[in-house]
Amino acid sequence: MTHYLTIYLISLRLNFLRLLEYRANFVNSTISSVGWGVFSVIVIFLLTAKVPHFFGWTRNELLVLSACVNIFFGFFRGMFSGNFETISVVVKFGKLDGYLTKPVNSQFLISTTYMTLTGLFRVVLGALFLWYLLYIFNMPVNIFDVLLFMLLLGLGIILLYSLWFIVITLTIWYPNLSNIVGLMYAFDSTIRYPQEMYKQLQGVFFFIFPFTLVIIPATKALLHKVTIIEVLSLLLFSLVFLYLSNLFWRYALRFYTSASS
Amino acid sequence: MRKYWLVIKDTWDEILTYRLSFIVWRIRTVFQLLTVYFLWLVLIPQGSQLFGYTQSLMLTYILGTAFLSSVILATRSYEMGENINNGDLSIFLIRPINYFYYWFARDIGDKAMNISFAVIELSILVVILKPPLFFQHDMMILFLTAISITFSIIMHFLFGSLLGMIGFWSPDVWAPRFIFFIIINFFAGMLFPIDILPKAVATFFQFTPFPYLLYFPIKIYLGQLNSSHIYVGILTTILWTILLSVFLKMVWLRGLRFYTAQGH
Repeated sequence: MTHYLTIYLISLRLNFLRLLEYRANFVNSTISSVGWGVFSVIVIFLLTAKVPHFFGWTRNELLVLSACVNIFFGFFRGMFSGNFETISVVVKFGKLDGYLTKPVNSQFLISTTYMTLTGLFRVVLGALFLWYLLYIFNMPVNIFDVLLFMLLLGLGIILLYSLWFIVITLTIWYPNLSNIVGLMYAFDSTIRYPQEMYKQLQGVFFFIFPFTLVIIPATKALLHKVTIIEVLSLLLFSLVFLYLSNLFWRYALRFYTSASS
Repeated sequence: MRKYWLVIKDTWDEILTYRLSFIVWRIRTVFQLLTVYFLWLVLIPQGSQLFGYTQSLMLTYILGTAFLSSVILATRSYEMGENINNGDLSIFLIRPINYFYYWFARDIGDKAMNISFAVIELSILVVILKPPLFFQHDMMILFLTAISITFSIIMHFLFGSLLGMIGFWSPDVWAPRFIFFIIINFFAGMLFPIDILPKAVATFFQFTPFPYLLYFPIKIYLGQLNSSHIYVGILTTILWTILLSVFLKMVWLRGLRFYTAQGH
């Protein structure tokens, strides 16, 4: 475990240096990350301007949800999305050998090599916005609420990571399928809205149910509305899908052919 | 003209070569459409109104912008930046082919394929979902919609080309393109009609070119604009097209002065 932590910290440091070296990229990336977050909040403001309740959620609750989504995506995009975007390139050009021949779990290595640290700006801004909303809407939270929120947020990250990884593993069989990343970004967009919106569309809901678990339970923890069923569902789904992602990855590697072998 | 026709055909064939990749792209497009569609379907129940739109008008707007995205926003001009960055521009500079006509031809090929799929997808969705759509019967309005769409296509190509010109000065063309994508989503009317924004904000955006990409053509089609608004809007689109062309030419000439390529 210490070994993996050391590798992760080295990766973090290298990505930080890379960020400082390409300053134009740093500025562009920060603007696009923060800009996307700001616009998503503006959409909620607009939609709730004349509709006081929205799928059973009040306007205040939806704004809290949008702040939580920004924290979530800031972290997820920053820590993982860059790696998912490069996996198809790595597989296509036979560079996966470099990951497989190292004395480290290949899934861990390929998931943590690239980080877009500017996503952390979105996390900080999202957290500040969330704190502000909870204060002005008079929604008190205590340390246990915050800890539960962080725990459920962590489980949500594990769940979304596992879903992404399972889908991206398909590029082992279809190396030219680079825009499968775009497909996953489209699926991601479903987590911005309450589950209740999709419950009315039952066929669709079944298909996207795991995505609806990613951020809603964590947000409900802050709103004191989370149920034990939701917590257990999220825990179960995140652990099962994490296991499946590793199983599927190891199975897929049997079919990997590199440029040098 | 034949050389540009060959470029269109090559682009079409290139897409068909990577069929699975294209199909995944279309699945993504349909999924994004469905998310927005169901959002508005639930927000505006049948028989009610929101922001001045009935369910029928809003769903027609959403499906209409989805179709127009294939017509107007489908583009290959984003590849210009990479083309300039990796030095492949040199090949075009010595060939008897206009660089921008070449990329516009690629755009046409890409749009043709996207439109073909969009027609099939939307037809299937209409059959399955049975949305209460509004169909325009006024031939004059349909003609004016087509005019507006034509200029929107050219305007979007000019925007894409300007973004591609960033390749002369920066290796990173992705982030500005992403910012432009966010702007299109919100200010071109892709996610919602501009007129649901507060009046002052909506009026401000009428002075920018973005609403004329998607929002304006759809509003003409829906018959929600009077004649004077339509003609002023089309003239505004033409004016923006001219301004963007002039600006693109200036940036192109300036960029060529900076351009260097290794090994070409």
